[in-house]
Amino acid sequence: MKKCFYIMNFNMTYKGYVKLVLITSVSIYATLFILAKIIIDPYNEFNLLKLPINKIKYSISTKVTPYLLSNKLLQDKYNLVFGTSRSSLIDSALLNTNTLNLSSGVYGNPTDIYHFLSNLSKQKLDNINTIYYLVDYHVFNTKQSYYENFSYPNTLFLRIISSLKTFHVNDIESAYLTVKYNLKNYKNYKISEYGNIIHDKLYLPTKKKNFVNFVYTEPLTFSTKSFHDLKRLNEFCMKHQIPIIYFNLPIYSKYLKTFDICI
Amino acid sequence: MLFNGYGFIFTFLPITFFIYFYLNHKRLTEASKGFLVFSSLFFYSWWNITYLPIILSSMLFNYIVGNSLNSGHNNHRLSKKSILTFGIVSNIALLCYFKYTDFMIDNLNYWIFTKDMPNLNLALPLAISFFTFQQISYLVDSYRQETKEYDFLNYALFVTFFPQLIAGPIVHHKEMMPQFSKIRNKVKNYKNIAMGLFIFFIGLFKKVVIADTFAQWATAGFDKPEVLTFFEAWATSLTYTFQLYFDFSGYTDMAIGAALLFNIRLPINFNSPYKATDIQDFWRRWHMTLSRFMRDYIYIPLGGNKNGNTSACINVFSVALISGLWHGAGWTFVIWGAMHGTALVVHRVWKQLGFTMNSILAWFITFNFINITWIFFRAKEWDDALLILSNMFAPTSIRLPKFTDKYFDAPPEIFAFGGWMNHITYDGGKMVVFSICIGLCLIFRNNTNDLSTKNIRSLKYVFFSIILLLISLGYMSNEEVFLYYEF
Repeated sequence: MKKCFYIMNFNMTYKGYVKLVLITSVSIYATLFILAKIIIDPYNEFNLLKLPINKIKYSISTKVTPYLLSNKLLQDKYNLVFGTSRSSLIDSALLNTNTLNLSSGVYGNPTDIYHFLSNLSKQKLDNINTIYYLVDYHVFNTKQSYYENFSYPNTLFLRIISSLKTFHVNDIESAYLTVKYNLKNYKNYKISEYGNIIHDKLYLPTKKKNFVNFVYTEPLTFSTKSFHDLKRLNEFCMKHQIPIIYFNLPIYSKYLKTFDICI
Repeated sequence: MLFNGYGFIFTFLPITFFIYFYLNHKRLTEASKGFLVFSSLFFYSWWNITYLPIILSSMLFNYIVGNSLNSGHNNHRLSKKSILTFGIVSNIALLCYFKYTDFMIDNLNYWIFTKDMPNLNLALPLAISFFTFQQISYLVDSYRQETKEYDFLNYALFVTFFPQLIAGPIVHHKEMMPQFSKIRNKVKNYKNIAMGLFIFFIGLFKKVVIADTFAQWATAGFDKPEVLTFFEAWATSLTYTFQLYFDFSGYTDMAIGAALLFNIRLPINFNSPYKATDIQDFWRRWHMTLSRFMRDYIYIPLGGNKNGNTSACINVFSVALISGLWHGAGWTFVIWGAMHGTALVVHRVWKQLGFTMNSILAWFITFNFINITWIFFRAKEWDDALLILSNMFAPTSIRLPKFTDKYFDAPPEIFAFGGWMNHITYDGGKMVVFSICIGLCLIFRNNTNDLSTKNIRSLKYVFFSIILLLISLGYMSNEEVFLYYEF
């Protein structure tokens, strides 16, 4: 203990302090980045190493996943699915054609979807078959979009730089969970390479009553911008001749009644 | 470019640092100053290059006016007082044009005209409030013959030096100019570099980890004041109170730290303001360089406390009102200034009557007063501020955590249970409460000024610095704008 106290209070030169702090910080940061983002690669961003610890992916990044999925549009035609967690299971088998599910990547508010689509290149837009958009009840509260001025690089070097810029503690958590789930052979769900979630077990919410109370007895908040962007999204699709199908959730009539008091 | 951005930390700051000292090492001192001015203007323009001509012309104008005032003999047709008046009015006119035109148009439309005059929708040039005040102080001191003959390069460096350019501290030429010309400051000083980095890391942590975390809840609450319950309204106001402090003091720490790398000491701007036990004490601790400017260039020229108590009270109130308006063009800022002005006057009278108060009670009242006034400072509309206040003090609904329902047989009408902070967070509110408690503890801890007097050369501080930096880097990807950038 005494020795530890002595070490912790050991005096060094100011130059020593500067060197030690900078070199150690940069080393730890670089190690964490390489380990979490490049080796474990929780979002399949680099796809460089296939290891037993990262074989199956469980994480989605709103900053990365949508752009990686959209790159598939450079090779082939796909349907796009937008929405919330309630539409994240929709896949190619269900729609009978190639489908990319962006429900978990781009959250289903019209502002994000509009800005995400408007950032896509012409080639990508031309390869969109149909858009399926689950317009959920609580998605009209967004004012600003992360995708407003955003593009994702294609070259590996620029992708590393971009990834470094968006490196966040959440990415370390995702990397940790990826390793943990792969080692434990976790089987509840996984993310397919097309963005949809695959549940290995039948998943049903057990506390239906609480869930509904939680969501629909709270007043829902709406922003005018969200509605404006829904209109812009529709116009955008018409302009680029992309069919868009809007759909909504079936809902019990008794819950529908609560909407009157919530909205 | 933001202090809390990768571009600044990993590219701009190191490159500027190395080239500046390399030029000095080669004894190219004028070139090094020129380079620092160029870098500062580059830093400024990165945000929006269209603002560059504004700051350049403002600098040139003030330099010429300042030199006219500074010349020992008066060979001008105009008196020095007229030149000073012209200089000050021009600066204020520039500030008013960009900052207050739409505010005035809105008010004219509302109160006088029947037909709406269109707004100009002018974008506020970055840092205009800061560099305008800084240059007004230069003009006044030139008039008082307190400045020396500086060349344009030195003057430009004084105005544009990047660590303090965007949001202060509002520096004084007397404390900056000698530092820029001191030969010893041209050489790398590892003590200053170490202290600079240490203070910069503290500031970065305050901003990206603490302030930005509080910002999420504050923004969520202020975006929908009409639905807030009792606890949510209090959480909203408290989280903004902490966000503002950690955001602005974090910015200031980063500015002081970055300047110290170049051997330049900026004045301190915060001294644990939320520890204040009265409102005057608060203004001696919060944004100290603005308070200094207000005192030296507005309060004292207005007459200060020379002309009796009533006049002093009017002057104090006027200064607070101007301070409110300086922060933003809106009635909420005017109200905020008026509330502080009233509190300062009440405190003055209280002190003169010889009343005293228990220090804990005094702190509690002061802190809550400040907390309440920040609501007007932050709210977009007057009605929003009133809604939050009414939910804090006359709530129509109080939602308690679900587990508490077993303690109530027949809860009163306004009580409900479960999801007690749903409108500002989805985590059940635990993090908000925990963070507010941490925030309260932190404001009573040593501030950065105290920490910077410590001997940081021990391993203990090395670990502390590394942890601060690594956690900050882990939270940095959001690059949230500093609140005072908007003023």
